[in-house]
Amino acid sequence: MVIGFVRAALSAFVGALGFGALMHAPMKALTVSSAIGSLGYVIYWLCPQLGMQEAVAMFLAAFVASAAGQIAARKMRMISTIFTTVAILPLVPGIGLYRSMWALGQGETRLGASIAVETMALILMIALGVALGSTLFGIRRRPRRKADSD
Amino acid sequence: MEAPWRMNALALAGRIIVENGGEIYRAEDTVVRMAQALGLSETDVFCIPSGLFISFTDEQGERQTSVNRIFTRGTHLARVDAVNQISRRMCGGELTDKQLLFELQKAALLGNKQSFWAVPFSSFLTTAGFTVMLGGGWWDVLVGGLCAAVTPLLPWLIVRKKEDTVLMMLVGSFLCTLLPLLFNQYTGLGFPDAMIAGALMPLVPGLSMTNAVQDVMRGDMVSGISHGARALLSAALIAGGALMATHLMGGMP
Repeated sequence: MVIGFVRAALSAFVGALGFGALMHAPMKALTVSSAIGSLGYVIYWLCPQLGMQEAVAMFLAAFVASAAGQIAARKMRMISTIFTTVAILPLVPGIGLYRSMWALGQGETRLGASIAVETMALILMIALGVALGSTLFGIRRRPRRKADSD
Repeated sequence: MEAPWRMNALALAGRIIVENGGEIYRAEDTVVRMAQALGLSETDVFCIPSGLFISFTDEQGERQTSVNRIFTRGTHLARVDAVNQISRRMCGGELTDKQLLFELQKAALLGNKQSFWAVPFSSFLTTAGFTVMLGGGWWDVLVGGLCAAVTPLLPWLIVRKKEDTVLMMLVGSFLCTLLPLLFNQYTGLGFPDAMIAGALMPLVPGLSMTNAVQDVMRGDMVSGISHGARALLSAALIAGGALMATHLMGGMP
């Protein structure tokens, strides 16, 4: 349990760090956002062990990662895109899209379709979690004026 | 007529954001804010992943419009952030008009002189992390990581081009599947599944799909649908390369 925990946290941190560097995130923000990503992944890893469904765990993890990312972005006065993008990297089920296409290519239509639906459900959960996090903790934007009356 | 430097600056700011993977709403929002700070009225911005259209009315009451074609390149978050800092400084009145264009041009070229080894090294790190996450051990990290490190160099190795996404995905996924399978067959070490999945991680379009869903939820339909379609096609390309390798090795990994 403890070893699994450390393993999950460390691997998520390293993975997010590398991927963030591939996306040229500024150095200053990279370590912070990778740490947030690690936190999110630990939540995603821990929740099913407490009897939670995977989709719910994904939503919770994405929400926490996004909320923490928004707060960090405001504290460091940088764009929230960096923090939320890098923070959800360990969660994103990219390999599912590939596995689905792989199964379709093998002629296993049913398997491919079911993996695709599962993956899209998880991706939707991430998007919802991120949206909730940024609505609650994001910087409030002024409503855009259609035509300035001056 | 006055030199169109204001239009150039606005277009450049929006272009840098979209070209380097910033969100559509961010590009539109930044251009509107900068236009307001420049004292222009009735600003309208319409942005899609392949184009940016700006209109405003200047002091003489003349309506000016510019149409910009955008070719999306990779993701470069540092540049998006740099434009945001410039826009913030400008709105706070810390930046003179002359500095603005210069600063923007500097932001567009930010990080251009990156070391040749930075991308392979980052790919290795990414794969190392994700391989362990998927249950791999030391051997998986090593082999998967090396495959992932070679992948971004493929376009340069094969056709001497710096970037060629289709080639990188097809040949990259082929190699990232073939080499772990060969390694496992001849040495019996490691788990091919973890190696392959980890090595493919920098290629697979999971983030692209997530961003597409977020775009649609925000109301940027064009961007969402085009990103989603591209994500599906990339997944198909990667699976194609991987399928070739598995068939070559005879059957399932």
